[in-house]
Amino acid sequence: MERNQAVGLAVIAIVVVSIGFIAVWNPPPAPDVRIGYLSKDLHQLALRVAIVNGLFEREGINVDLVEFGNGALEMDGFLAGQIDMGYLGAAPAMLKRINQDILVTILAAVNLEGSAIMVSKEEYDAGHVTTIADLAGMGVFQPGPSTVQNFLLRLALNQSGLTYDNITAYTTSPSLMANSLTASSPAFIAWEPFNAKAEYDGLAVPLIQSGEIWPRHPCCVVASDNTYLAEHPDIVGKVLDIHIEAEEWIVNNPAQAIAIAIDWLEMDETPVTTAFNNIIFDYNVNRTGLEMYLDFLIHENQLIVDKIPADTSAFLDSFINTTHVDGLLFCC
Amino acid sequence: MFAVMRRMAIVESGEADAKTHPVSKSSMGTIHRRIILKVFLPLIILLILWQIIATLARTSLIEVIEAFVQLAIEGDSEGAYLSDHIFASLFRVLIGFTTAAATAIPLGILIGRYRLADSIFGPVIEAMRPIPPIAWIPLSILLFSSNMLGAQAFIIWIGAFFPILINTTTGVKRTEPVHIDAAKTLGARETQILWKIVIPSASPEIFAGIRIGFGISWMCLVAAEMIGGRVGLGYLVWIMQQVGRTGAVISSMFLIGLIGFLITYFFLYIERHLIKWKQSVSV
Repeated sequence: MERNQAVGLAVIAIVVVSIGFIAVWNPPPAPDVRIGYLSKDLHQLALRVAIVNGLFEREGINVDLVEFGNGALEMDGFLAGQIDMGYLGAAPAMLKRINQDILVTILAAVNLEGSAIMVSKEEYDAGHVTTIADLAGMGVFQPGPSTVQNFLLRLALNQSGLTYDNITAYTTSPSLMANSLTASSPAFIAWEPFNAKAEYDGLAVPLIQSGEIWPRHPCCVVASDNTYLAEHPDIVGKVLDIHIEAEEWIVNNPAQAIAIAIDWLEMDETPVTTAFNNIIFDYNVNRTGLEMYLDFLIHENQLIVDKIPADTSAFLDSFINTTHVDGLLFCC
Repeated sequence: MFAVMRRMAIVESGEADAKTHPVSKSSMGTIHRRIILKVFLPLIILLILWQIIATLARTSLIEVIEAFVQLAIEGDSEGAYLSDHIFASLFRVLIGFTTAAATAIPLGILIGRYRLADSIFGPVIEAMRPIPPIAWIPLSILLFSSNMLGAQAFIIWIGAFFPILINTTTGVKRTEPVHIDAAKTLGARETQILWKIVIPSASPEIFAGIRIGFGISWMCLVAAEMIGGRVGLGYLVWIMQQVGRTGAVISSMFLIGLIGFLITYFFLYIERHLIKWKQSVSV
């Protein structure tokens, strides 16, 4: 056989094997629903409980879980068509629903409260910062200018006779906040379990819990892509049933829920228990709270001007749909 | 020899034609063609590219321009103007980059010139070099406990340090042994060999390393500013993504690219004028 013929045969063999591989390759079955969630966020324990307790398998739902670094990225996941439903903060959901026209609907709450303003243990023990008023002229770390935590910080400052301009707010990731504290920037506001972990590590102590600033304030929610909601109302309904069951299970079985959280977060029992006790696991949406947050976004120029809803009440009616959750509430 | 090389450079660049002959129709045509090829075409391609990026990101160039103007004139929701973000970023990069140059160049000369230093530091550097600057982010805040600027400058330093170091080492090692031997024969001391032969000989590589190092350190800016803060172009990209202002994200990215391009161009210009014997440098 001539050399050229051998090369030709080799090329044909490679092409045939490649085609054969593609033909034989069996892609995994398409999931019934793709659910986004935030990595290691104790607020979203209900989803973890549903997975560990096998609730999705029991209902015969094939779920594909997609992890995101933060709620803003998860909203981009909705936009890119990577997920159908998601557990995320109400703040990024609303903000990006308006600014980027990402059509999602809030269907249920995941938790209420669960944030805190923390202060450097050293500064607290020395008596330098023991109240919110002591933060005047100092730096405070916060997770972003348009987060619920930023709103809580502003509220706390106002309640203590200060304004946001009296402090210097630095934006950083909650995981880095406790290690960033200094005498001139002694405080941060974040969500659990970062606060409990900072306290457990002896780096910070709580100055005020978010529930003391704004009782039962909205936090994480379950949202669905509008097209998916219209096309698969049965699956969305089942996922919501599972979510509610998981939420109720957490409330009724706190010790077992904490055990699941310890395993999931890979943290010690003490900080997980502390964090767990600072969160209200409730699936009822705080619509009034979301209305307040929308006003805050408008007031703080966080929304693109020509996208601000002319009728905020009508916008919230379309953005929040608690029919399923309310139906369960009245029926059982 | 330098005079001959300079003459060759002038001839190559076409400068001689411009000086010795009056501007003819054909040379005007050449200038026009050059302007079209080097300015307008790249500009049009760049605009098309950004339009494609904007479309894929579900926004438009109009929104990008509007966001740019808004950030420049009205500032962001925290009251910081685009100029504040630019200066903050330049300041951080300046700290990280100058520190990188100040540490990498002497170390590179040491490693390139002395075998003992090479055998000790060489493996250490080769083991550290593959770690991407972004991978250092979680540790940077712990390493520079409570010093945000230090942590950010550290990420930028990591980005610039290795290209400058490697280029300096290579440049020093490429010094013609015959030049060193000749200097030794004439009784030159080690410091004289370093100052008069090794460093001038390695300077084209050192400059190339500085240019490449700056490029990488500027690229590390976004990652460094994501550690936190309240101003900076990288910070702006991150925050604007969070609030869903894609137009502002793209305009900040465009600005990062533009400033990086201008500074790299500036380095090339300096390089060309300082190292006249290195004809491969083109602006």
